[in-house]
Amino acid sequence: MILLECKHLTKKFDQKTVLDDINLKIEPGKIYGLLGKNGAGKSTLIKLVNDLLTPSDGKILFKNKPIGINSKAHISYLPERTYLDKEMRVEQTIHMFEEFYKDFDTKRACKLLEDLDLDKDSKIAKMSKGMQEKLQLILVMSRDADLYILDEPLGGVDPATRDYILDTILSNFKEGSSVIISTHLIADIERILDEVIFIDKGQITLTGNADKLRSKEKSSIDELFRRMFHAKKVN
Amino acid sequence: MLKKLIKYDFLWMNRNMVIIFAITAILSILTRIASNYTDSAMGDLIFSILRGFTIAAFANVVINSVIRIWERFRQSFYKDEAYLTHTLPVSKNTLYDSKTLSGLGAIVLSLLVVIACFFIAFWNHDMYEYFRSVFKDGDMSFIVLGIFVTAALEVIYAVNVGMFSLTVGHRSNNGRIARSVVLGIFLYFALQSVLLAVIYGIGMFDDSIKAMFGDASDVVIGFSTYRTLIIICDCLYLVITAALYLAGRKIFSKGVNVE
Repeated sequence: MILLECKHLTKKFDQKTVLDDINLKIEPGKIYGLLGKNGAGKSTLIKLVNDLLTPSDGKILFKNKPIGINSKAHISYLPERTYLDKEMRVEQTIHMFEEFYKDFDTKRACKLLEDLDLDKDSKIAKMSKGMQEKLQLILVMSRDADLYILDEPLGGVDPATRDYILDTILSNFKEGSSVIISTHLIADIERILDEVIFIDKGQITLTGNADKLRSKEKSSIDELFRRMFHAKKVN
Repeated sequence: MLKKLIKYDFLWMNRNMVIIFAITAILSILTRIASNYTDSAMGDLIFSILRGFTIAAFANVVINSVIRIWERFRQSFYKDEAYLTHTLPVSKNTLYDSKTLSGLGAIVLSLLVVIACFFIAFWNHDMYEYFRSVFKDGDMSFIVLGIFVTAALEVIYAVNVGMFSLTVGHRSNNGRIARSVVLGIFLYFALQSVLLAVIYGIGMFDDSIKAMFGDASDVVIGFSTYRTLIIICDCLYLVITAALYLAGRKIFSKGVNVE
């Protein structure tokens, strides 16, 4: 079964093509790394899947149906930005997620809040950006979704916290569901990836199983990534 | 889902309005108290100042309310909060309906506050007698209710012009706010001109309405003229606002491009 499928997906901003004829299939039960340099088109692809952008051409299917209310009920998305209402308190955001998402696990959220030392009564406006990002991660990972899409979850975070975030992701996503992690910090997430998707200049340049690629290329994914894009630069 | 969305939208729109409502109410009470001491020059001066502040506060209530509705629309659909709004398991039409209905509620609430404060600050027997003389034997309650409904529809129309313009303006990739503002101003005045033209057209067949444009000075403008005018204006506002709402909703449902 295919969880998510992009068919000939293209996105243009005026005359500039940001994504060009993307064909992609995401299967259940796997962790995908969406890897590319800054400006390669990773966030655009993720925003299209989450209905934040309108495709110029092509289709996006979730469980063989066009994306919409049903896909949103089963996709848990962590964007790069902090999107919470700054005037709300942590507890209110938990309650809001509980109201809108049937698959939201309040107990898990409360436990994660304790683990990450976040106070339920804190006002979001008074929390640091890092704390707000942690809260968003908690909200996203407290859902029993079929697909988790995490856009640059490690960006702007110190190495110790990166490990903690990765552990939080690994220990909280529902069994049988998939995770797409978009990042350019490949070395940090390489250990958890099942599949990789390389994206460059709006096109998918390589997809495959992480272990097979490592043994075939006799190098880590991080080295392969550096080699591919370095070689392109020389050419 | 619509109810839940309305709850969050309405609370956001009115979050800081409570302070503005309280200030307006306090000014209205002070104006009423000052109106009892206008015999002396100082008392009259204080009353005049308070009256000015109170009227400014009325305008402030309505303007702030409208701006907060537009700001909620923009923040929630096109800025950072859009990353949550558009990923909620809700259709685009429901999202648009929520903003429209909560905006409607916010406007009605603001106008009720203004009317209540107006009565607190200014309503007295002399004013009642003045209106009575203007509207002769007409139904005062109809006029009061009619003016309220027309004022509400006028503001709701302005809110919908803003929502429609923001929707259209944000379809482009550059200069979104500038496009929204220019389109909004143009649309507001263009549709008001259409409304005036329609009333003028009706005036061709009704001398009392024609008299309002100064074309038939011998005709007396009475209660029935005001009543007809209120009914025509309300119907036109309803048609234009409904058209704007449906067009904006249709465009919005085709998808967004969040920054």
